[in-house]
Amino acid sequence: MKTAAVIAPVIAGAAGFSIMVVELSAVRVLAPSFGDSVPVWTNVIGVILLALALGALLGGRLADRGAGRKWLGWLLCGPAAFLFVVPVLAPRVAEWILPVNLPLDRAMPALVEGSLGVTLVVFAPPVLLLGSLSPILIRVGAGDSVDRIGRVSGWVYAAGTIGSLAGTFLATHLLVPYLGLSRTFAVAGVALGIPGIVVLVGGRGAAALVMAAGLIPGLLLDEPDPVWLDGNTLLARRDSRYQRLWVMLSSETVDGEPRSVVSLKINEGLDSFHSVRIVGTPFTNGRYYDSFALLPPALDALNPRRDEVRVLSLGCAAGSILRILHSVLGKRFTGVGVELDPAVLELGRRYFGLQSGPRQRLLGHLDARVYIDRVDRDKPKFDLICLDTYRSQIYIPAHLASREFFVEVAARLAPDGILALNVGDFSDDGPVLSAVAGTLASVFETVESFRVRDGRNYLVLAHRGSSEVLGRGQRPAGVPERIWARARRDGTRKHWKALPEDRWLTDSRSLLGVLHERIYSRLTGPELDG
Amino acid sequence: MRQDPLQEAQALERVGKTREACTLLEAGLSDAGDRQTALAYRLAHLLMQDGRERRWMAIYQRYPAWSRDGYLSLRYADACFRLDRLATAKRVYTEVIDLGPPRIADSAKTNLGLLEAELGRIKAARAALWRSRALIAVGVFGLAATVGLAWIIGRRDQRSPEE
Repeated sequence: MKTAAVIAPVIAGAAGFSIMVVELSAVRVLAPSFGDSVPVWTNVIGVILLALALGALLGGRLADRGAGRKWLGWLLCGPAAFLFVVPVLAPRVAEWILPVNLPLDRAMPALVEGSLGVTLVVFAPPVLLLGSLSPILIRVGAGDSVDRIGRVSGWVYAAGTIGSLAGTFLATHLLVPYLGLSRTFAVAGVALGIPGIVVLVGGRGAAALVMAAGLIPGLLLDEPDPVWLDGNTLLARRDSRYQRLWVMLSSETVDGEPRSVVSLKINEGLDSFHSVRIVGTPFTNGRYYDSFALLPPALDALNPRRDEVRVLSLGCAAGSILRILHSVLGKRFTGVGVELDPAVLELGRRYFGLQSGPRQRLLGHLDARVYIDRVDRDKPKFDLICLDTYRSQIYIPAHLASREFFVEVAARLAPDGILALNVGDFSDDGPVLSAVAGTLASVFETVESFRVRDGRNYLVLAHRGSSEVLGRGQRPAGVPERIWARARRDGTRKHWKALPEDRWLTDSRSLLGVLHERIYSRLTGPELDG
Repeated sequence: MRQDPLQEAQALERVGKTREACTLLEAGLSDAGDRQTALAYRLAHLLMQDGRERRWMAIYQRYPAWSRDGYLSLRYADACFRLDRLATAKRVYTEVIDLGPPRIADSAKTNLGLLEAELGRIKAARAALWRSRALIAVGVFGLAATVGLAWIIGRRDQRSPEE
């Protein structure tokens, strides 16, 4: 029984490692289909905890009934084999749920419930079996000696926790970024399979066969193309440290001529995009990025004698906003682009013409809030700060839309500068737009919004001028006539007043996530009969 | 002498004051006499262009006689469509197709096609939601069944301990 007492913590460690690798990587497997929003994370964590709880019940029962080595071996080899299949099984189940190219606002409820369904069917079974190991390990390790139960259970729990710790750090920092998802799950499978086979020892080839059977589909099947690809070309697919990145090539008619369009999509993609480049023009055929061309004339309205315009683009992605501003401002432009995911900048350089040099610096690995907090308040301030930071397509992170953040941004903005935000909402009195603009107005003298043509985005401007500046004066060279004419109409613009203090978005109190979900959960809204 | 509200509104429009133009046109509707339709056409156009669908719907509903005007009804249906009142939009588009004139009826047909496509997407989204729920049921049942099955096997194990 001494050997068993040594093996028990080793197995517990392997199980803890695999459980955390599965938990953290599960969201990455789901993300290309369902996104990695807070509800998706909640579903994964909730289901894993449920599976572990049921597994513990099961394991306790089996331990009391005398389950020993044979059970341990199978409880390790079963999940091990399953983990090889998970990366190819999960996308196919997801494809069955979402077989058509749904727009984001219609797909939202199915994304949340679909992720729950896939987690229950694909991830819960192996975790349930792994959760049953601890009681059996304690039983096997302690043998018939009640005196040893305390020490053995202490070892089992300690080793399990340390294994979990290793799984957590390795999955995030090493396995997924460097090996990719399929191999990460294979590593977890091997970590379980080896002790499983050792426990079963002596020519019990069945376990090895089960594992091999699990390997075959994992090796043979490729991950399916995303449903939204719809006949277009996939130029690149990459699993970065943060997300799944796709670069898609399509074509569309621009001013009567067919043009190639390169789009950056993240995770579930759908009809959403994070950067767009149309070959032959800096603009994006009426997408919301084009509205940022209105900012240089707005800056000139605040200070017509400005020689240089220092631009900071927070959440610059592959540089669509920087490109448009550079094109309108010409030699007056100097820019800094900040992007959390360095892989996005890399794809930007490769497919979107994003360049760094003396006039444009690009910084990866940086959260927008972290960057703002570290910019010296005494250094030359920015004339224009553009905020286009989105997570999971629709969510502005709460820490980037709080009053505290806006105060910090204001301190880094020139007195005649502008903070410009892209805010997603469906109407002028939409809840997200009202909350963000109303909070901004508690920091800045003037806050104005402009409804972008596509009807799903608003350009929100905040500055210290006493009057509105959007669409004022003459159309400068470089700003497309269509955008300028739209901005001139006061029906597309709105002036905002500060919300009462108890409704401000703050670091400690922000309903932004709930508000986002409210505007996108329109599926049950429309009347369909008749 | 008071200026024609339509001309006054167009002057405001030219300097970008579309909100004021709308207010002026709306105020002029009730005593416009035979000019009412012209005012209403411009008002519908401006409100829809500025994304003020709710306002246009409210005004349209105040004048039941407008339901016999193809263009005004078309814009009403467009507003319903944009605000997800799809059943109403579908009904009004169908009425406009019958009502004419031909150019307006053609627009209604085109928009009805778009609406049918949107309905298709909604139905597909609902089907996706039901598939998700079916999968959740399968998952919950699977978890319960796994525990139950192992429970039974555990009992057998007790009867024939291996070690």
